[in-house]
Amino acid sequence: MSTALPLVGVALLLLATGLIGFYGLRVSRTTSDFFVASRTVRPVWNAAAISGEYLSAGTFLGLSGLVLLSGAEAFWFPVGYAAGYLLVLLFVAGPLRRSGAYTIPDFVHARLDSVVARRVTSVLVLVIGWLYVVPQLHGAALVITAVAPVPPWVGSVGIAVVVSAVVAAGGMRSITFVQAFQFWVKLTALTLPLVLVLMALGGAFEPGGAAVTFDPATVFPHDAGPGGLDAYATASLLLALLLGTTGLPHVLVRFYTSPDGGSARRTTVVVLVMISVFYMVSSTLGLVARVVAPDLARPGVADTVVLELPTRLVPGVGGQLLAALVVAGAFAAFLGTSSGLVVALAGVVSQDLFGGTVRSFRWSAVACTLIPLAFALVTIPQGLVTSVGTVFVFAASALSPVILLGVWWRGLTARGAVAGMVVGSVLCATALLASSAIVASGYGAGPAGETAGGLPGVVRALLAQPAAWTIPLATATVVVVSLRDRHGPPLRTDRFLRRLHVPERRRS
Amino acid sequence: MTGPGPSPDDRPPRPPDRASDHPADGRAHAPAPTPRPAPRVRVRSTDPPPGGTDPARAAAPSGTPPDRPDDADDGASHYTRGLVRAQLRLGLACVVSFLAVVALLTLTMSAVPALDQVVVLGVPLPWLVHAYGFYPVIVAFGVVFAVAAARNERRYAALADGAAGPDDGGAP
Repeated sequence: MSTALPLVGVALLLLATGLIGFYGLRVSRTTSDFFVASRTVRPVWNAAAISGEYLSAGTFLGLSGLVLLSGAEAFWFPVGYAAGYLLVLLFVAGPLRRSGAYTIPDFVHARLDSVVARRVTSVLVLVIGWLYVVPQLHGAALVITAVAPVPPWVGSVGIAVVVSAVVAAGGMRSITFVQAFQFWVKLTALTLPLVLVLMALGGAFEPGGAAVTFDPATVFPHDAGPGGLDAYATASLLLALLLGTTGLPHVLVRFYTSPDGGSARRTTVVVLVMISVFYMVSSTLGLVARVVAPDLARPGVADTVVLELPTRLVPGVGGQLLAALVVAGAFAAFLGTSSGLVVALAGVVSQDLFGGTVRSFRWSAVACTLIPLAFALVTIPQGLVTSVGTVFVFAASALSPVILLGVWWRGLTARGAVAGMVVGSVLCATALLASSAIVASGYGAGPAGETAGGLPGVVRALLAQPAAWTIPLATATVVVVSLRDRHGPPLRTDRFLRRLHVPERRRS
Repeated sequence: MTGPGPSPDDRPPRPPDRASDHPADGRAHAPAPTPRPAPRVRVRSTDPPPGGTDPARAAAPSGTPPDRPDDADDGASHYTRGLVRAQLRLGLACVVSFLAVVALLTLTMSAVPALDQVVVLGVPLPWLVHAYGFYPVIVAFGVVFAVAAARNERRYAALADGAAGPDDGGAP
């Protein structure tokens, strides 16, 4: 692949991002602007912005890579991400908008009237956010080495610099415009190449007009398809993805930018449509990749397959231009997700440590980019989809039970919440670390794989996909400790729940 | 409220599309939500008297903070609990039926080997179902929920306004 065109694509994207970001700077004046765009973002803009930050490197590059690598089981990830947004809509979108809080720790603090619960939540939000930024930076490193002869850190550092600059300069208001723009860049950057690639498969660019032929049974074998499904791993992963979205910091902060609870719900429906379309496009590229690029089906390389497809199938400059577009779209994915996360994290840090001024927000934004950058530079990239999936498992175990019970169960107490968050996060982290240690030490590769080594397959499966037992245990801990808490729920619980659930105009 | 959240005074005015949320629509479209009739209690009304105008709109917040101490009118809070239960039931019903549909789709595509023989555009049918089949289901459930949840809220507004009104407690 030639170097110049993709770099021009990235440069144009950065230029546009910078322009939109600085336009946002001119209209961001108050603290409220910085944190939540003054809550006047229109539903379609807001939905595009939400989709723009939700669609990360994991689904832009990683999904087709994983479809190529391991087959149809990869489709569970986007299905789970979209279904997770459905759960957000069903249980938290409207109520959290009405809670009037800026961040998840704000919500927990207001709901439970407890500074300890707030601090524990803040720590978990930061851990989740940082873990989520790391795969974005890894993705940037992967793409930059695929298109230019530079060391991988250039990509990670470049993204980190742009993100912290844009967030520190413009806060949430400019980020909203930037992300809405980036959603459309991402969708175009996959859809246009897909259309041309499909035309190429149909023979449009061949002199004789002959379509590419292949044997469906070889390219899409039964065992790699839905037929080879592992029931426990699938169910556990789906549970984690369903509930994990609720616990992601950048997802919840977005509802605060809707004018009221009803519009937060309508916005979420539009988001469901937007991300579904994107996932279908991305899944199709995965199917195409299995047909034309089986040679790339190797760990570490498979995630670059989307960059390869256009040049393989579309001849001449057209293919080069399409590849440059895909690269620009990939950078839009890294930027969109990272900047949304950094806004959410900087909001938490600046409010918890510095009283929430605009100045502290800026410094927090820089700090919240540097920490995951350091982490990204010292770790080795894993598969992008699975890294992002792991964050969902952790969020679903650590935060989601408390948020859901906080919205719907009046009996929740601060002690119950803290106990549940500690139990959920410790169990989940232990299981995931143990699982990766087992894999690294060679006790068998796949989570549901062979009985090599001393450990039975059941234990390895339970450790590799812990959500099915960590989420119930965390939830049970919250409930039991809350019920046994002699102090009982906070006095203002009823009034707070009323505020969450009653439509805005009835609140007088 | 000691929460650090902002006071909701800065809430912008309702967008125009909310104006179509006429409470009468809620009553006309759907049966009464609360399983048992509400006790008719005379309560201290904090709303302006509805008079001949639309009570829901008359009760729109006009700069009054929602958390002032005297906002607990018993009739309305009875309906509030009903609203919370109705929304929770709705959410749970949606998620249970969604999971049932997902389980059904998954079983069909994974456990019926004959489907592997059906090849559309070069791709076996189970792969296509897995790649595309779930999203329409997700969006459909999202739309159904959003419509039903808004209807619950309109119904609540109608009932609570009725309860808080001067003489005509309860819905007609």
